[in-house]
Amino acid sequence: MKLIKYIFSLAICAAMFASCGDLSEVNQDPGRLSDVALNLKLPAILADNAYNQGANQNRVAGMIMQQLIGLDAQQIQYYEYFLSENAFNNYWRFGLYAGPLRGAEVIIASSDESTTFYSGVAKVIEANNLAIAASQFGDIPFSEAFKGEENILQPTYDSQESIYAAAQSLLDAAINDLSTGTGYFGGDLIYGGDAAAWSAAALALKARYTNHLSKRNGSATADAAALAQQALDAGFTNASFAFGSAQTDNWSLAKFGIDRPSTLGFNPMFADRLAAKADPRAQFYTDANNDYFVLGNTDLVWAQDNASVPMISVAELQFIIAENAARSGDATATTDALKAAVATNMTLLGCSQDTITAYADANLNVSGSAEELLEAVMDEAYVAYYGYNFNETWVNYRRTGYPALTPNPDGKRDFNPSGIIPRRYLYVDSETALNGANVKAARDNQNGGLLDADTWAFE
Amino acid sequence: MMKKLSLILMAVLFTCAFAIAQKTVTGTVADSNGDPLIGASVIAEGTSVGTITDIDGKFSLEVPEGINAVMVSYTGFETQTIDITTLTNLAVTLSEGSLLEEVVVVAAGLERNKARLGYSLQNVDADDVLESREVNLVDALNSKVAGVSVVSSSGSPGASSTIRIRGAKSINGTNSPLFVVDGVPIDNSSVGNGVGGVDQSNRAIDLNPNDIQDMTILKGPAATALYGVRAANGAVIITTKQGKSGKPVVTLSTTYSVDQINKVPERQSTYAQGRPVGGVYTWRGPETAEGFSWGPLLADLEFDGDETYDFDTKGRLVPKGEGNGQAAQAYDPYTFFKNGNSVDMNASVSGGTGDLTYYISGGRLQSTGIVPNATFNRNSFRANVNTNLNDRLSVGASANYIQSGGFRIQRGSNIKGVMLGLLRTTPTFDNGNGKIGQAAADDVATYIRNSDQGQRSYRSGVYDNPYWTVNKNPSTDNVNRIIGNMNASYKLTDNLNVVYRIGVDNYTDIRNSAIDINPGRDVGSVSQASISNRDLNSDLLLNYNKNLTSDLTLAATVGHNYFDSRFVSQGTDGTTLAASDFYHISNATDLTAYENFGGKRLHGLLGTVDFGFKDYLFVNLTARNDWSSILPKDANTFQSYSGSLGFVFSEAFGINNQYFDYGKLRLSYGQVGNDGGNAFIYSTSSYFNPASSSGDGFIGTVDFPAFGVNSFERSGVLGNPGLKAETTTSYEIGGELKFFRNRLSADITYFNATSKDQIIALDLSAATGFTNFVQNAGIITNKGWEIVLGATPIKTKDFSWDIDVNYTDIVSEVVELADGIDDIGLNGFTSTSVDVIPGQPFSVIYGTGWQRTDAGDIIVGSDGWPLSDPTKKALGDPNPDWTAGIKNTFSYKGVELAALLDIRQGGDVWCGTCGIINYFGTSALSADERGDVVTFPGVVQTGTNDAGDPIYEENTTAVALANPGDGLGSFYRVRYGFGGITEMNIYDASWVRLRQLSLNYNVPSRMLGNSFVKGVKLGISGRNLWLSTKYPGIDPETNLTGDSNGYGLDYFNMPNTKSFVGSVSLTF
Repeated sequence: MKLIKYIFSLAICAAMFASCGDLSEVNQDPGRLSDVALNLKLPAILADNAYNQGANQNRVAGMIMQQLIGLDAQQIQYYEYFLSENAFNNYWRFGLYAGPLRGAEVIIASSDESTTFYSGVAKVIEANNLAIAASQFGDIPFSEAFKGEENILQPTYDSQESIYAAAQSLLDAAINDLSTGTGYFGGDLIYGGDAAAWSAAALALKARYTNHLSKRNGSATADAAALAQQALDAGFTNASFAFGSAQTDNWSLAKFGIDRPSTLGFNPMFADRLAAKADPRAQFYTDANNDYFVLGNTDLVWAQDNASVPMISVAELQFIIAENAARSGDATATTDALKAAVATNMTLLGCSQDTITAYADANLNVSGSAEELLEAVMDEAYVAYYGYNFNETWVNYRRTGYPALTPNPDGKRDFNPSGIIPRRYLYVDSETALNGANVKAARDNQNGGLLDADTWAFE
Repeated sequence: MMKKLSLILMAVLFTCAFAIAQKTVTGTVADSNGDPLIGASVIAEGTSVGTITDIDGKFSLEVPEGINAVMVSYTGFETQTIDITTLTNLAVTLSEGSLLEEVVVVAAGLERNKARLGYSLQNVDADDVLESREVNLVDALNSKVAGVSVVSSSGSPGASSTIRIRGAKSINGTNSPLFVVDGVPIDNSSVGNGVGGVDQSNRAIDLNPNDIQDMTILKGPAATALYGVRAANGAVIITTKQGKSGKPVVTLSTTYSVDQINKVPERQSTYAQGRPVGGVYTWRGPETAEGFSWGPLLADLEFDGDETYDFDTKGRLVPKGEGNGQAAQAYDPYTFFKNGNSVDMNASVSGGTGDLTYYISGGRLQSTGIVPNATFNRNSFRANVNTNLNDRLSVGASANYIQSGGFRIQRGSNIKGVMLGLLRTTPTFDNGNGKIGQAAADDVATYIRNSDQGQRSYRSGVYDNPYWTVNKNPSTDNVNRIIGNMNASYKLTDNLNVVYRIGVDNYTDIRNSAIDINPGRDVGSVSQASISNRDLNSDLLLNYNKNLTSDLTLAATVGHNYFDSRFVSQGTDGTTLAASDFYHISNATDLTAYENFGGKRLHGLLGTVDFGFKDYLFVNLTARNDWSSILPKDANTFQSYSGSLGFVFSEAFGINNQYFDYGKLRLSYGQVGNDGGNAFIYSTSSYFNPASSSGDGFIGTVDFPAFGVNSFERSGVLGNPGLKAETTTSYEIGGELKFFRNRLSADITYFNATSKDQIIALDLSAATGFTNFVQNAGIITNKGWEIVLGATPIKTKDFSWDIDVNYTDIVSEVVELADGIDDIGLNGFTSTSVDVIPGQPFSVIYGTGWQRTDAGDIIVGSDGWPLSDPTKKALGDPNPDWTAGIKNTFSYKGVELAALLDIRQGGDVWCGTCGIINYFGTSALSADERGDVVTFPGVVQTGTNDAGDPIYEENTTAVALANPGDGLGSFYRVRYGFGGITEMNIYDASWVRLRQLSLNYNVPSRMLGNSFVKGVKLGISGRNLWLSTKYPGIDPETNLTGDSNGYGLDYFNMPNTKSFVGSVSLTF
């Protein structure tokens, strides 16, 4: 009897402990939120977008375009086109899909008519990152992407053509959202909540990505120039993101100079090109040792911790206008537009008016055939885009063939059998491992997807 | 309660002061043949006063007044208690026991007779633990237990060691067994072991090996089901020393050891720093900041004699004939390493009086590493007290305070890493600037240039000079830990008792680290962190024992277990230091702070029942139900159960003759449920994390708050409200056989375990918007053989030779992962990693290999160079085919010589270090093959056939491995990228090593005479003295990522060590 009493009391006691209500409380993380307001979501995607401009995939574009040079370790192999499937895995995963694209999708999903400012800006950022990725990888997932919660764990790839179309639709939708631009309550690190400025930036990006398809569409550059003019008329100003001076909020190219010292340099061939025209921008790009970064050197504009980096610049719109003039063979209009574009770029860098004028007089009175004019515009854009716009330089090269470059004679052919200047990046190995069938289909659709296989837009 | 105990404790200590009247008992102990038994134990009954017999089987013992019996025992023989009221001279004959009465502690702290178990377990006793002379208790198990693998991650003082019992089964969760000390689970996690940074400790290092009485390794689910979820990976049950009633026994011991590096990669000393320039090998000195050692022959260079040259007091190198005639020289960077040493001092007093026993100890370990400035220290105190308050109630308490930590050194993939800087250093640069080891580290002129205060290193500060890093990049940890328990046992009836035990394990680990300002390179940073963890465990057990009939015994237990764990990691990281040499958070310009939590609670109800029939048939059944906070509310319960059968057929059939003494069969089956472990706390829903911009791979992140605002982003981990428990099901068949009067024994076990519904943070295609998804998926199997052999080929009066062998052969297979998921990364780099892949063993080395034809031939380009494959693949298996430990022990009179050989057959290690030093041209291999012209074996595609398939022909194009005319980028060791591709650097890491060699001498009691010293033990030993392996890097017993789930990577890991040890132990 005594025994039964003891067992009984033990069982009661145990059952009390085992009640499960307290257990689910224990499993709530006291250190994290389950959702946040839009003003706390927006800064991250703006920072992601700007961080990417100086990150690996764009530095490599700078090396492919021979503005930068690999001096050590992985940078040498990248400069020699040894760009395997793991080169951009981090970018694809954390800098792109689970980065600004994911962030923008979350913002779009959690905004409504009362917060169109946020959905509008998020669509601009999403369009920009999608189009850049399409220019580098060709076909990429979009229509089935971002549906992890709906259990679509292996999204199919959409054609590069449809990604460009989707980017344009997103930008149109953004302009629509921003036309009301309601509900701003903080977090805009670029325009401080100015919906009209964002709307102009959306037009500017429409111009850029329309022009990407110049090989596919004879009127693309004319359309792009019209959009560029529309953006300028709408008061477009450089969509600049101002980095900070701390090691936790500084500009990616400065980070690289600090974190990976002496592995990346300013390409001597590019330096020679600047020197040949006594280009006043050289002093803002590099030093006598062909360094692109020197700790403590405040002259190098694109190597500063707290650089102010345009997502898209006024100068780029002026270059698009110049390109359109060049394609029509109008030397005068090309000269005018080119001078405007170069002056805008030089002013941004801090060149004096005297040097700007002297450079223009010596170099920018262009003449010749439409093809020669186009080359002149592309050569100037090449110099002007250094430091913040490496990808557009590569796109320009793939669209027009200018500037004229010779492939790196040390180029490895493992992933680039024909040895030419790469036309695309390889898909990343996380997709091979985790989304194998779809990425294989995408490779098969694009001539195998090696570095020398052109994507649809640049064929 | 505590007060009362402390009063009792005081009383005990005073008691020690009083001498007690004694009488002397002498005698001999022999076996049934009349041969003397050496080392038989003779103890005054009810006391700890005792002695052992000498080589003639003789003993002499001072028995305290009032004690009327002595107990005489010897392993393998039946213990006798002999009345000494009238006798003072004894002639004892012991008979050999048939059933070994070895009591072991099994799950839930229950004590069971080992002979009655139906599952495999293995013991490691105090001497085995101590004689290994390992700082880390986990290492003391190395090569000693079948089915257990131990890998120390490096030779850094205090580095972590991995322990796995019967292989790894969890992809993201811990694979470490549960550590239980005196019935209370303790934490053996480690925080912060990754590809870079410093080697951190696993927390079992806090236990002082000198306090250990016994360790029992529970291997399979049948043994551990009572622990439920927490012992899904097996358990290490540790019993600490307890006092025995009687006079206080004081033990003092000191161990001194000297450590040296045991293996380092071979370097070249033929060529200078530099590279081909315009087709000519050219010296490119440190001021160029270039990293290569593909320069000209040293024989063709001499110094220019410029004393103002910062990088070498002898000047720059110039072609022969252009300088001062002093020939260029190669320096040996390995002079950086010094002798490490450690002093381990321990004192303990144990004994008992009346109903109270006590064991009190203090230990202090101070060690310095093979790297200058590296240290690890451990101070520990322990008090174990037990008392019978009355006939029914006994209580006990135990408290263990530990302070541990040290000065840790940067290593691994990290430009501050010691091995990285050292091995990449060109032969023509002297890191020590004329000095070596600690002396060089203590001289600022070694690592700071006079002229501009910049760093003095072979790449002028791109990679840190190792002497710079040990001074300028400090990393310290300071752990304060309390492990304590209180227990009470109340006898309700003669058959029934209730036991309550509550234990707490609480530690705080304060870490400080900094990277000093490196002029022109690094603005400096400083971090402070506080990691704390508190585990509370409570057990309530009701035990029932009864002999149901004269042949049938019953032991049953029901109980409740409660476990609650709280982890908090807080810290502040600061960047951009204001002043040099000041490693304080106030010195940082920009700060970011964090606070992370982990909370878990578990309830378990458990029951077990043992039946014994006669002395030969034993059945055990157990069941446990757990409720875990980690799982969703409506699915948080899961079950573990087991059944086992032990059948001593020799007893049942009465077989016992001079050839065959004992035979037993074991059969068990069990299933253990698992909540996935601490890795999955907070995984049932999705969260927002502080935002950061990342995705570069080379540079740091942008971390919010930043730019004057804060921001959050949705976590990349897709939470799963539908999680359920995972299960491991295992069966085990084994047998124990003893022959020739126990001179030969074998214990053979086969096990087969299947883990399914694993909780895995699956990698997802990032295009889903998530990078990981916590999900139940996958099937992983582990099966294997464990063989333990014992033999005593020679046993004479004075001399004996014992051989102990343990052999492990485990085969694992990842049968499936989730649908469409072909790969999950465990650890490593983007280029080379350790992954799990369906159809492969648990973990493979994964990376870039050669392009191959369907027939497996390497595809070579038309230029004669093999082509690397753009798609990564499984390239190596880091799991050994088998491992074995062979221990030979020779005893002659009081002298014992023991040697433990450790054999590992197979198992690959990726030598990332080798790839990089080949790339930079500092390895011996790079110099040896510089002039070689090679036709790579493989095939070249010459066209396609009508079906469109490629046509291959054998490659006949020879290439020069290094042709300066084509530039450095064309060199074999450079052309495949930084460090080459993965397949170039995978090596078989088979080894044979002398893990332990020890010589111990127990000074015979007759030599001590009647002095107050009762025992003296002297020992010298060596650890890891000899190693034979074809692995070209450091000692392949290493792991870059510490005790994490990924193993088999070596990338500038700290080298391992060998040790020479001397010890003295005195008993009073």
